[in-house]
Amino acid sequence: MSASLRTDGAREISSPERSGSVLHAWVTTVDHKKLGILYIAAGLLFFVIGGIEAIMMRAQLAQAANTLLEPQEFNRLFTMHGTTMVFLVGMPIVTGFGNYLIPLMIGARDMAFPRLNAWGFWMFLFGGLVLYMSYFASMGLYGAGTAPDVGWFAYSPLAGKAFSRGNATDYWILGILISGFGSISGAINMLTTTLTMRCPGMTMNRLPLFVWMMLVVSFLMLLALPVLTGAQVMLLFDRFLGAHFFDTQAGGDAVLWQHFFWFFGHPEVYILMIPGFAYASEIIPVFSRKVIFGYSFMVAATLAIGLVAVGVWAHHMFTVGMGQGLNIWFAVITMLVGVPTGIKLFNWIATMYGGRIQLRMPMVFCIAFLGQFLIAGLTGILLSGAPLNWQLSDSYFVVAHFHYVLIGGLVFTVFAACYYWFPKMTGRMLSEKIGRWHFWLFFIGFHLTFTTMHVQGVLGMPRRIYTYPAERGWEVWNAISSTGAILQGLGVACFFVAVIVAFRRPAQAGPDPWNAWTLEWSTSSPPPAYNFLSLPEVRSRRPLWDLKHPDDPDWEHE
Amino acid sequence: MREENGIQEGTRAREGEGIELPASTTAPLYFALGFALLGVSLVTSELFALAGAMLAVWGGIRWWGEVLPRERETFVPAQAEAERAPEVVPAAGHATPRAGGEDRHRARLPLEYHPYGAGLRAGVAGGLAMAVVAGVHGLIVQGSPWHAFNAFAALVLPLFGAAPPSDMTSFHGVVVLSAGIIHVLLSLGIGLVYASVLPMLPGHPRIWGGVVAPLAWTGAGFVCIELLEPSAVQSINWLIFILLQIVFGLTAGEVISRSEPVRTLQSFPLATRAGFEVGDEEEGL
Repeated sequence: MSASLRTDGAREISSPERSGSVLHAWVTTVDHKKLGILYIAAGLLFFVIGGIEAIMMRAQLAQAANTLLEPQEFNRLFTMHGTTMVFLVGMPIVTGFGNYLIPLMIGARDMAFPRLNAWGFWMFLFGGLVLYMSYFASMGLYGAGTAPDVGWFAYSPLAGKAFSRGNATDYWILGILISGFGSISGAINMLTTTLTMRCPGMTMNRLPLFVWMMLVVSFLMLLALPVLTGAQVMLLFDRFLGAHFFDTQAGGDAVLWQHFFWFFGHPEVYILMIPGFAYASEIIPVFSRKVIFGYSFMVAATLAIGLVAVGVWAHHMFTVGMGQGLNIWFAVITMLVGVPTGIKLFNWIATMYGGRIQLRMPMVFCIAFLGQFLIAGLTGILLSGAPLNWQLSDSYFVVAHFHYVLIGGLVFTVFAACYYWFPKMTGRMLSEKIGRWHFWLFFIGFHLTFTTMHVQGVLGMPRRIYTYPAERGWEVWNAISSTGAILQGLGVACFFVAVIVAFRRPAQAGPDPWNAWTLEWSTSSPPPAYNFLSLPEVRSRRPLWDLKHPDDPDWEHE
Repeated sequence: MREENGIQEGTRAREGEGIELPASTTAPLYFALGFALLGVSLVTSELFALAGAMLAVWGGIRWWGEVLPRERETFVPAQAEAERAPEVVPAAGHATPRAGGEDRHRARLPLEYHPYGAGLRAGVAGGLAMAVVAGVHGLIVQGSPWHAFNAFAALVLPLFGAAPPSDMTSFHGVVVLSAGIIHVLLSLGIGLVYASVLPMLPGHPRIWGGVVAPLAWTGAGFVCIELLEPSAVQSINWLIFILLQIVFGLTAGEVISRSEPVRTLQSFPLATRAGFEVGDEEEGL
């Protein structure tokens, strides 16, 4: 929708010819598609920033006793890297795809609350800008700006006034707090849209798996984010008003912060990862030319993951000393997550089994995801055992594990989603040739960086150290890790080259370039502002299949 | 937004002309910016708080005006015919069902399995063939048919804390008995595994049973023996080891492939599965 001209009271006519500027149209938009693209674009911008921070850290660690970065600079980098990647990359990208696709997939014309949708995006963006404002505005030594350095989970009492002087930590709190409100509003919107705006015939049993999974993600967001928001307000009270919630010397409880943070933090892993499952669940069937294996079980497994996700938070706290009873409880519940997750993995593989697999870029990324996420899950099971966790906690083994989850799992599926839905969003195809460079550089770089980190962890290298002595046997592994980081950077650069090349070419993707089955592929690419001129009516989970194959429609089998 | 007569309220369509959608607005932007500045004022100055409060109030008032007394909408003209997505048309050709029959691509796998009896028979036949070849090989190379039994016992018995045979070419009753029992049990077990797994693999059972499985089994055996009894790795003739596995695999695969597979419940019609009808398969019962 471009600028609009008021004609009769409340009605305006959208008129591209009379539009002021493209920028104005984007800034004032309430269209879910534009907001989705804005979310994704902002997320990718922060991804580049977070990636540069990671490469700087890897450059510092590439050799022993390196002096490229000062210790405090390193602390700020890992804090900003972690915070950026979780809150300013993962969250907006999954929300962006949800925003863009949910109305299209359920046959709606927009989200339930379009203006709230716009507000959510701006809150996220301003939250991110507030966080990065700390580099310039936060009070540091000699009047220079300084970023927060308390880690992405800002443990108390480190985050308290006594140990975090100045206001860099306040910027961290405020930035995340503001963007958190945006995420909560986004969750309310996705939830309401899915529950109330489905087109005729789109029963819950016919929802695309993508929408089902985003529904569970929305519930998790609503459950987890307010807890973090509340804890951050409490921390602000501690820092500004002299409260003592987390001040142990005045009767407060530092472990309470850990409970609050991880009650948010672990569901957050699933808030980020379930959308990855959602992309894979749409892409794998299309490129296997088969219906998804075990739809009902996939839905049930997602619900089970959502349920279990809120009961495992303290497995991040085995080393705190919670006692044997709680340790055993959280270890067992954590291991249980492996069951529904395993069901999903088996179902994706069973979907591919016997299919006519097309190794296009979305599918290639998804196949890599399957193997990598399996490894991530297995190391997760290892870490869920409290005794082994005591040995490996805060080591590079843990760093390897969660990067296998968030990069091997999420980022690979996000790239798969980008290649898959980019034609829908822009009408242009991303180059397969550049895509293959992207994939192989990123894939090899990823494994060089993070597979080796398992070894570093087992050899005892602690995380967050800014340097290390030469005689510990860690040099070669760190050198390999750092080389891999550069390859990953080159891979991501290839992706942006592919995007630029695509925009220099004419739009010719057509409405349905992948011969897919969900509703978004029935409208033009990019879709008009209203999505569908007349609302579709569906009879099965794959409405386009029914239209393309009237001799064998899905509704006869569901 | 609720649906009215099948059309979502707030997105009313005028057939053929266009759609009314919520109008674009700056209100959410101002409202969010006001909130952000209010927050930042905690670490900057009161001026930020003042600006933030003004923007938030301004944004809030504008937002209110967007939805009350009635929602402000914009009329979006319909795309020109040439820009619209063409109607989805039936694809040329038909969908290809898997395994060549009646909706089988929608059934759970496996659709059929080999009876456990076939697995047991395969284990017996494979184990017997393996023992014969091992015995003949021992007779020719070592001059004794008992060498194979003794060598096998030397590999296995130390794991159970028993002493291996001292003389590898003589007959030892206990050794032959214990090695024979272990060999029979292993053969039956592997025969059952073959019967269960082979139908789920693509291609012919002889290839999987006779080539792939022996190689995989040899690899696994090498790793296990190296872990459990490292010294035994050197004493094993791995060439004959692989040959014996292949003999077992080919024989067992042949027996299994000759057996009549049993269709699983998933291949029956729903009415049969639900017990309302007797399927063709059960009529003879």
